[in-house]
Amino acid sequence: MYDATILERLKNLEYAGIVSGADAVGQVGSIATGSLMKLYLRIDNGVITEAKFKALGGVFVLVACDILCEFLTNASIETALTIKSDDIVSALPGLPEDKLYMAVLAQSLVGDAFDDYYKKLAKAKLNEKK
Amino acid sequence: MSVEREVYLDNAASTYCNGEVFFAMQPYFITNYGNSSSLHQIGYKARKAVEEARVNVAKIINADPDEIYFTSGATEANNWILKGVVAASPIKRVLISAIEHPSIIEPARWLSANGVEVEYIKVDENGVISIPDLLSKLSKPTCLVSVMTANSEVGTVQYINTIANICSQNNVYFHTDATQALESVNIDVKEMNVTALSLSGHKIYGPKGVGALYIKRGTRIDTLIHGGSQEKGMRAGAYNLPAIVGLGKAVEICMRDGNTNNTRMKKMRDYFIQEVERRITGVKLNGHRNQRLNNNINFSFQSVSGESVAAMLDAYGIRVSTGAASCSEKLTRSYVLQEMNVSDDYINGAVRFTLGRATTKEDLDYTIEVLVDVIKRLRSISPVSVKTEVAD
Repeated sequence: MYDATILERLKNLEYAGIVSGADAVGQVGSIATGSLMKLYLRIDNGVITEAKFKALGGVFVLVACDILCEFLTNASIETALTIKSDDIVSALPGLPEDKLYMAVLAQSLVGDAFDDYYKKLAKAKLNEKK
Repeated sequence: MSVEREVYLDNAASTYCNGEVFFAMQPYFITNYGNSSSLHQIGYKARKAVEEARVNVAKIINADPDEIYFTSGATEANNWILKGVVAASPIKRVLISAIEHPSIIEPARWLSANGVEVEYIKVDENGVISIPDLLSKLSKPTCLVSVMTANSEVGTVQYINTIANICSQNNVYFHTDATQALESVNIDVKEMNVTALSLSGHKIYGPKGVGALYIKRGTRIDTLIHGGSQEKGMRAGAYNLPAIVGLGKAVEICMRDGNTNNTRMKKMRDYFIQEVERRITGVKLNGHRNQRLNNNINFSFQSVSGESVAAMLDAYGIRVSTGAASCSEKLTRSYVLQEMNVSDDYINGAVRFTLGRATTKEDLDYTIEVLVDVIKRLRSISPVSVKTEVAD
């Protein structure tokens, strides 16, 4: 039994989709484990102007991704990097203990996305020098 | 899309209590509440009701009434047969199928932790027991084989006659858990050569908390519940009188209306399967296509999570399950589908729809419409490239 707010959010996943030409893409999980999350970010002048996700998994996987994208939209890079899994847990009423790792997975998407972002930046700088 | 109706398609988890059953039970709460062990008139009325129920339960599986023992449900019956037969036998070896219900698997694990050798009989990709594997495992002395009549999750009906006869030829007791199959499958314990059989009330429109174990006369079995002398000293505890009356009535209705219900249910089941396969691609019917329970449909949808499908359907008033109800609580991958070698891409996308006597074609049409939309939405969110799109 899920909290009504969770079911309502599941029906209206506002941030589901892709950011075309994303500045950062993060991915965690696998098909084999049944939970796979992908995060797409557009970053302008150090601020996330657009955040979208794609996910395969249970209810909390999908809703956690949607909540994460809401947190990330219009956040500065500094703020985005301070998002904790506990922040996501607080926004997921009724998340069972054995599903807490989903919030951790969602949070680690941010790290993975920024890893991609800084790699891309470094590569771009390298190309400029060339 | 809005919630248009409430559709209950989780009848394998539990059914509603039939009105006739409810009214048959009522006097035994209020007026005929005696203890059937008492010698006075109220006690006699209670005893008479218990024995009438016993006759009905015996009749539906062609057993003799004195071979029926009332229990608190199929879980107790399953625990009793496994632990009781092992305790009474010098041979400490048991075979169960790999896709049994947890009420067989867990007692078997407990036995295994207490020095009993337990082996699991393999199943094929349709969930059908491997007879060669059974024969090979029977080469060692065994006291009991337990194979469910039909699987609760994928609905596959086993070749019970064959398995029972193989066991009989090898002088091994054979038990079958018929909890899901009582209304769908014709069971004749004498013809089938079955040693023991479990059944439950709440899967056949009877009350919860009551079941029965058929034990063939002469079977060596120890008691599980010790105490008073009820059930010939084999199962202690005051009779759950209203529930036993309810079980007897539920069984009577199964015998009376079974054919009509089965014909109707099978027709609706096949319609649902046909429509889902026609309208949604990347879908796999789990379990045997023909040799399955009349009310069971188990589909895996490629590249989506069954849990999300079930929750979305729930949000639209449609109640289904992602597998056995007990597994749904744990939200874990189905061990039944794993044993059937269902691929990674499909195994997490399994949803079970089990029809009931109250299910209508309109319920199914609404479910199909919502399902098509839900799968389309979930696939549009999935990061896995889905080659198969929902057919328009």
